[in-house]
Amino acid sequence: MTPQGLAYLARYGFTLLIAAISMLLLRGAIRDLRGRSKTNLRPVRGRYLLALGGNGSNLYPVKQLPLFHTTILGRGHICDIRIHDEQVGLRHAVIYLYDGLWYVRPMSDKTPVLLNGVPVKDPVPLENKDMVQVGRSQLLYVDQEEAAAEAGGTLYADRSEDMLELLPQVRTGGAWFLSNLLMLGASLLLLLLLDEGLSPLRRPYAAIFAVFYILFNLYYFALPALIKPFERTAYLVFANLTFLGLLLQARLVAININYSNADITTDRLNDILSAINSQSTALFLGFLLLPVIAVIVQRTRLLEMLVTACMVLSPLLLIITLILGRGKETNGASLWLTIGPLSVQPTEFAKLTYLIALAGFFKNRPPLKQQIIFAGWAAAFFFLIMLLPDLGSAMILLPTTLVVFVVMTSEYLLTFLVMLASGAAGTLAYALFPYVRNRISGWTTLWDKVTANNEQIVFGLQAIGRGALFGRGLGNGSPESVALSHSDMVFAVVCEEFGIIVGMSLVLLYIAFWLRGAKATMQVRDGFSSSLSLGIATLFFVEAAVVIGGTTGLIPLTGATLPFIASGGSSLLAKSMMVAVFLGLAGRHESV
Amino acid sequence: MKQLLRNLKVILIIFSVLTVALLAGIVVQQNRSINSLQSAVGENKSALKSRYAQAGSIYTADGQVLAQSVDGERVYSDDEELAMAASQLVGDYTHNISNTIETLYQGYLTGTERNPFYQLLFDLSGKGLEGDDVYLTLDSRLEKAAYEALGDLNGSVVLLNYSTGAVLASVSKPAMTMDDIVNYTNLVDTGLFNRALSGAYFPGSAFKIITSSAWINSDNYDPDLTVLCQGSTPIVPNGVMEADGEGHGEVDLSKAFDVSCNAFFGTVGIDVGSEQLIEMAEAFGFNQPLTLDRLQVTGSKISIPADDDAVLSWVSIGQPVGDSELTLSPLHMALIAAAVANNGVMPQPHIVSYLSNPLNQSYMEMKSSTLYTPLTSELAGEVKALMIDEVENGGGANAAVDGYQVGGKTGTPELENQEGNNAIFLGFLDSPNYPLAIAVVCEDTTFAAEKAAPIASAVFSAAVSLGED
Repeated sequence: MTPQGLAYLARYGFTLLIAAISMLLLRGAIRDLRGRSKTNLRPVRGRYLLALGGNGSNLYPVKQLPLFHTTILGRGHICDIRIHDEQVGLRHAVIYLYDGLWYVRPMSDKTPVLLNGVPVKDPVPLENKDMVQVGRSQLLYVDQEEAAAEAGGTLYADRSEDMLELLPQVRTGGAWFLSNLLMLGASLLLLLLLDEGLSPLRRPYAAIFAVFYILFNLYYFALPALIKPFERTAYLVFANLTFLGLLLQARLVAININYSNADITTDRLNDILSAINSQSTALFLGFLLLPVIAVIVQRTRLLEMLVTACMVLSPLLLIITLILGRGKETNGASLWLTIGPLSVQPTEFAKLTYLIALAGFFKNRPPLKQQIIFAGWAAAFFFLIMLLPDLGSAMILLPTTLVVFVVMTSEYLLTFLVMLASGAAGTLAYALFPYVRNRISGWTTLWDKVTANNEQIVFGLQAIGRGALFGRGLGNGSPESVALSHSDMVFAVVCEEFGIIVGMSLVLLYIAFWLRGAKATMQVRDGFSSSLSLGIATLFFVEAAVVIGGTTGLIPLTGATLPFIASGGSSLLAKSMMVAVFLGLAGRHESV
Repeated sequence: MKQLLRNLKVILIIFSVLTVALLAGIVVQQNRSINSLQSAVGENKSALKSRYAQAGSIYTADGQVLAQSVDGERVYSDDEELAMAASQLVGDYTHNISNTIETLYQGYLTGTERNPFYQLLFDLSGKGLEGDDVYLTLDSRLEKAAYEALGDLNGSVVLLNYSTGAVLASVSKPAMTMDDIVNYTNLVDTGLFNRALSGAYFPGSAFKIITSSAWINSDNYDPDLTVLCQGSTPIVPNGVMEADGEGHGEVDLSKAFDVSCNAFFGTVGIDVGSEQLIEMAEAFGFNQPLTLDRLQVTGSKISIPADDDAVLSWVSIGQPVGDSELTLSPLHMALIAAAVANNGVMPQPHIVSYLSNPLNQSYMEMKSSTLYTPLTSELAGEVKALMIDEVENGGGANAAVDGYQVGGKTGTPELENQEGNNAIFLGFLDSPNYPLAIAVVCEDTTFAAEKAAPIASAVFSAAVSLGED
């Protein structure tokens, strides 16, 4: 049997493995989310409000009120602590945890809050036995830990009693086992496919896959010892997606129908090696940084300290790109920056700093003033993006921002208005930028004729069609027929070589990651971590949805790339760093 | 906190809906791509090269390879003459010619239209990537003989077995080399056009086969009828006349057929009437769609305005004028000759003998069937006798083959836009061992008797000598 024939036979294995891995991970994520949503109205331990009755000096405790990492006080039915008092606003005040401290803040100027009799304007840190007055209610803030410390002891907190711990951890053993099968089988198959003239590639390829394989398993077992609890589902999603990316990129640079295997030149071999090296370097750099970043994020508050820096850095990265960037004329955007031998895409890193800054703004429900400041900052940021112009990033960051915004603030009306405004901005972009017009016109004429504006999607769709259910097998597709098959159109290659079932499984993997993000959002102990983990998970899903929708002609193509799978060192490194931050955040609820 | 959970639930619902929509969208778009995109916009060349990298081969009936994939490259017959002779029929993997075996049997050749069960079976045997082979009814030697016989002339030759309908040779000139077709270079005017299937020619006097049939079949038929042919005097105002001024004198049916007398057939055409003439032509397959397995054949057309005897007389001799229409493809011409030779039964033509999957199991084997039965065997016998007499004693003499009985009819239609005439011959070899029917079309030349009939003779002789080897 020829290696090509073997690859053709192996496509059934690919389909089974990848479909099974994604189903297992998704099932685990759904079950866990269901289980947790029943118990996640879980108050913070050791801190509570004591509602006091009586007046003057004659006060007596009436009721113990639980606190959450973000606790909203008010008359409205949605508030965590409801106060039936005409003087109290629908949403009156918020008590929240940030950076290890507890703060109290009125929701607006019209909802006065007194702290120990003094009106509060900006957030004020709370201390044990502080008296918070909301309307006619007197609420005593109790911090048992502080009280214990004052009394010269420490608070005994049995962590095993934590309700979270009562829920079984998501089992990921099956998915881990199947991932191992997939990685071993697929990389062996690829090595077999490198026959005749390509055989000198076998050794370096084997080395790259071996390192990946060892790191994957090492982290799977070692990281849970460093970070507790360790988000294994998200890690497995990340590992499987990056493996598929590495496999595809390694295949795409080496196997090409236009080069006969029999007469490969040394030059071509060198080209292949340098291409795969730049991809794997970014991948391994990301893998090496992963535990470092994750541990720092989980154990320290470095991220919180970086919020202000990120607010400055995000637009700065875009401005640098705008001034020094050079790039692909074809896409109308120049996003690359050359630093010595390196070619980097600062916009990819700007996404990470943007998300951190975003989480800094929306660590709790911010007052109107802060919201306006944010709106101005974000508007400037998006303006810079459109100047680049990087339509892809805009289409991904805008929905991500709106999701974080609406979840953290409940401002549905405002979100709707922002959507309307961005619709108007889109129309403006359509009028201003010819390349936006080209993409739209290419998309609308997709099914009628091939033009320069749509041939990429048309040929991509034909490749998806050729893939049918099970694909053509690794190395048997024709990525040469699709422009940018390694980056923008990589989903078409996935569907052609592995079939549509694997293509759909990718969608399941991305949504499984998002569900873990939703779980972390509910679970982590403060609003900043909530907001950032939600932002990161949403960004991945939105980006995947925009790319897959674009590749399959459901929406216009934007020039974004499939997270973890598309080529591009900057994107891969930046996204690995986001995953590292996410893993750290998800491990936070025990230690902060 | 309650709010956050509620908001998160809203987003969860939105994202779940998005996910389901995305999954459904992928499936829908893939189906749309498979069903309509390929045909609407054509596939790109790079993808085709990869698709045909392990495609099946195309063989002639005598085992010659017309197309095969070697080391990921699609290569065509290394016999350049054979490759050119069959080029418009076999086609190219880049689909620069669309009505071809390569294009229309792509799903079989590349093995992409199999049912999943068979596919799994082939996969397990390690041959899942290989496509199926296509075995044609063409005989490479006859194909080349026909190609050579046409010489420098543009035109077409179709040779078929009149009892089975198998096409043995199908040639269209000018032809191009396969390299030029694939690369789309050194284009020759109409070099990619398959005249045998897509040509639409006036039949000229060859149509007198159908006029004779219609007349013998009509109520007015009088076997003793004679017509006085007066040369260049039209039989009715604006009606048919002879090309030369002399005229054939007093002629009966047999004599008229041999000398191809326009006056006689114009007269009987008017006698038969346009309705019955069209009826007979339609019995022979005019105004009906015609296919050659998956290949498309240009439909033959006949129409005559009512109550116009002058036009009717012109159509009766195969030369449409004014508002009338009369065109047919060379394949259809050969089928008309086949119907006469085959006792009035026109066989369904076939080009694909069978297909063979990677496990060497053959399927879709050719089944002979009847397409039309335009004539009773008695009537067919009478027309057949006329055609045999034409070759023995008349204008088709050059089509004769030593030791065999050949029947046929010449036709030399005139065209407005070219200087010379087209030379047409349809005929058959009346032999149970060599049941062959032929159509020869030579464009822009002199007379059928001189140009087309000898080509038929050469191809028949080649077929007979193959049998004798």
